[in-house]
Amino acid sequence: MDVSTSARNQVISRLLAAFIMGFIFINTLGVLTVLLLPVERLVAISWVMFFVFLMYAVVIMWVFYETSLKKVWWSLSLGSVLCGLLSAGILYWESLS
Amino acid sequence: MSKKGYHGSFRQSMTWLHTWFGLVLCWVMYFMFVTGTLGYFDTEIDRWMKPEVPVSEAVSIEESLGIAQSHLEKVGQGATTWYIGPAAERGSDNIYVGWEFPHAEDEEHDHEDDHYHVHAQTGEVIDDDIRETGGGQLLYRMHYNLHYIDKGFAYKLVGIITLIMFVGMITGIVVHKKIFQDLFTFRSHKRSRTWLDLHNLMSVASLPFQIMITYSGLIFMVTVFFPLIGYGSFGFDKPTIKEELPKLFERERVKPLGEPATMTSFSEIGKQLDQEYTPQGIRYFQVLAPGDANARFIAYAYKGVADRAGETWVFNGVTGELIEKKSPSHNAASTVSSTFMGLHEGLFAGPLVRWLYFVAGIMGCIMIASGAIYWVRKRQGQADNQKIGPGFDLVNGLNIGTFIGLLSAIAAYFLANRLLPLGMENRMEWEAHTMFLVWLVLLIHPFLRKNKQQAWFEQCTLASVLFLFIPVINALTTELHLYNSLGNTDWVVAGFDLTAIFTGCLLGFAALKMRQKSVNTELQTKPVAAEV
Repeated sequence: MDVSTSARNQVISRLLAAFIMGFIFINTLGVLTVLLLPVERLVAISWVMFFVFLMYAVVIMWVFYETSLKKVWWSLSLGSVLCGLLSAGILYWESLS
Repeated sequence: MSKKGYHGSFRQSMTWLHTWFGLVLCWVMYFMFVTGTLGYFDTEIDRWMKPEVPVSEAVSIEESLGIAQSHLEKVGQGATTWYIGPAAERGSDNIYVGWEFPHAEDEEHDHEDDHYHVHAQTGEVIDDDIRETGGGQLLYRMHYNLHYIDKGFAYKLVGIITLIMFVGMITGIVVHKKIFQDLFTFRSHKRSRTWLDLHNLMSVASLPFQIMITYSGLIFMVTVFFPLIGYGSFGFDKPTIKEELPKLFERERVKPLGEPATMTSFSEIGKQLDQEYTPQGIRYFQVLAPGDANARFIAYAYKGVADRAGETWVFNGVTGELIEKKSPSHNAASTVSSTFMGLHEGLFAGPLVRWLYFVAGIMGCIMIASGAIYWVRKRQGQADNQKIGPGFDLVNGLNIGTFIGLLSAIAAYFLANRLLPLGMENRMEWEAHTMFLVWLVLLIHPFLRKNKQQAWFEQCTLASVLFLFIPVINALTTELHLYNSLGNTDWVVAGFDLTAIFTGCLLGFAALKMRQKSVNTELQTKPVAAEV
C-alpha cells in the first residue's frame, strides 16, 4: 500500500476542511438560520439544535465529494464569513429598532 | 451523474467515505455499542452484581415517600436538593435517597457519596452490607465516558465518533441503494461475500434503530458542541443569554428565603398524586431548598416514550399545595429532541421492548464487526501476491482483539465481581481494571499469532469458557444460583445467568467453526510457507 504524499495530504486537507472549517461554517450558518426563521428566537434555537448535526454531516459528505479542494476551502470560508456578517447585520439592525 | 466527484461518481465517493470513516474508529464504536447495549439492562446487571441486596416487595409511593423523608431529614440537613427514587421496578424494590450540598457543583452523576438505598419494608439503609461494585451503572457509563479518560474530553471524543458513525450510516444508505433487495440476500457459501451480506442484513434490518440511536446520541452532545449557536443568536450579549437560554432546559429553580420551615408530609403529597392526578408512573421526586420556607416538592413523571418530556408536578414543600403542573419542554422542537433522548435511553421500556432494544443493539454491534471483518476478507484475497501493508495486519489484529476480546473482558468484569475479595480496597476500580487488563492482553494476543484463524479460534474459545464460567462461579460464591433463582422465579437473576450460558454456547459454536477454518487455512498456507 504505497500512499503517495499528495494523496495523503489531500485526505488530511479534506479532514481539516470537513471537521474544522465545516464546524466554523455550521456555527455561523446555525446562527443565521436562527435569526432568519420566522419563529420566536428560543424556538428557532431548538429547531436548529435538533438539525445541526444533520447539517454538519451533509457538509462533511460534500467535502468528500467535491473534486476541487480549492473550491472546498473557499466555499466554506466565504460561507462562514458571509453567514457571520449577515448575522451581525441582522443583530445590529434589530438592536436599532 | 456526469460530474466527477473526489473518488469518481457520487456513489463511489460515498463508498470511499463509508469504508474509511467506518473503519478508522470502528473498535471504539464497537466498545460504545456493546457497553451501551448492556446498559439497557443496567438495573438488572446491578441486581446480579449486588447479590446482597435484600429482595423486598415494592411498596406504594406514599410509603416510599414517608420512609425517604424520615431519612432525609436526618442526613440531608443543609442540603440544597433532595432526591427520592420510589421503590418501583426492574428488580429494584428499594428506595433511593440522595442529597446534594451547595459545594457539589461538578459534572452530572458525580455525587456518589451523597446517596444510599433504603429497604422498603424495614426502612433501614442497606448499602453497608453490599459488596463494593461498579455494577451495571459503571458498565453502561463507559459508553459515553470511556472510563479512563477525562470526562469533558471523553464527551467530545464520543461526540466526534458518533458523528463519524452517523456519516457512516448515511453514506451506507447511499452505497446500498438496493436496500430491500439486500434484505433478502444472504450468500453463506462465498467467503468474503458472506460478511458483506451479514453487514447488509444487520444494517438494513435495524436501520431505523441505528439511525435513531446514533442521532439521538448526537443530540445529547449538542450543547457540548454548539453552544456558540445559542450565544451567537443573542449577539453574545451575556445578560440576555443568562436570562433566555436556561428557559430551554426548564429546570425548576427556587430561591431559598433563608427562613427555616417544617416540611409537609411527603407521603400526604404522594397520596394526593395517586388519587387526583394519577400519573403514569413517577420517575423520581426532587425537593428544592428543603427545610426552607420557599421549599418545592417536584414529581417527575414518565410519559409514554418521551419520558424526558413527561409531566412535572410542582408542590409547595411547606403547605403541600399543588403550585403548577407543567411539561418541561419549552416548545415542539425541544419536545422532538427530548423524545429522541427518551428513545435513546429507553427508560420507559417494559421487558419485551427492553429485549427488543437489546437485540437491536446487538445487531448494531454485529453491523460494525462484520463491516470491519469484510474489509479484511476483501483485501485478503487480493493481497496474497502483493505486499501486505502494516495497516492490514493492524486491522485484522484489532478486529480479533476487540470483537471477541472485549466480550471476554466483559465476562471477566462479571467474574471479578464474584471473585475479588469482598473487603478489598478500591474493589470497584479493580473490577474495571480487571476488565481492561484482560482486554489489553487479548488485544496483543492476535499479533503474536501468525495464523489469524488460530487467533480467532483461541479467543472464541476463551470467551466461551469465561461466559460459561459465570453461572458456575455464581453458584459457587452466592446463593443466587440458577437452581434458586429459577426455583424462586427470580427472572432478573436467572435471566442474567441464562444469557451468559447462551452467549457462552454461541461463542463455543463460533470457536468450533473457527477451528475447522483454522485447519483449512493451515493446509492452504503450508506450501506457500515452504516456498518462502
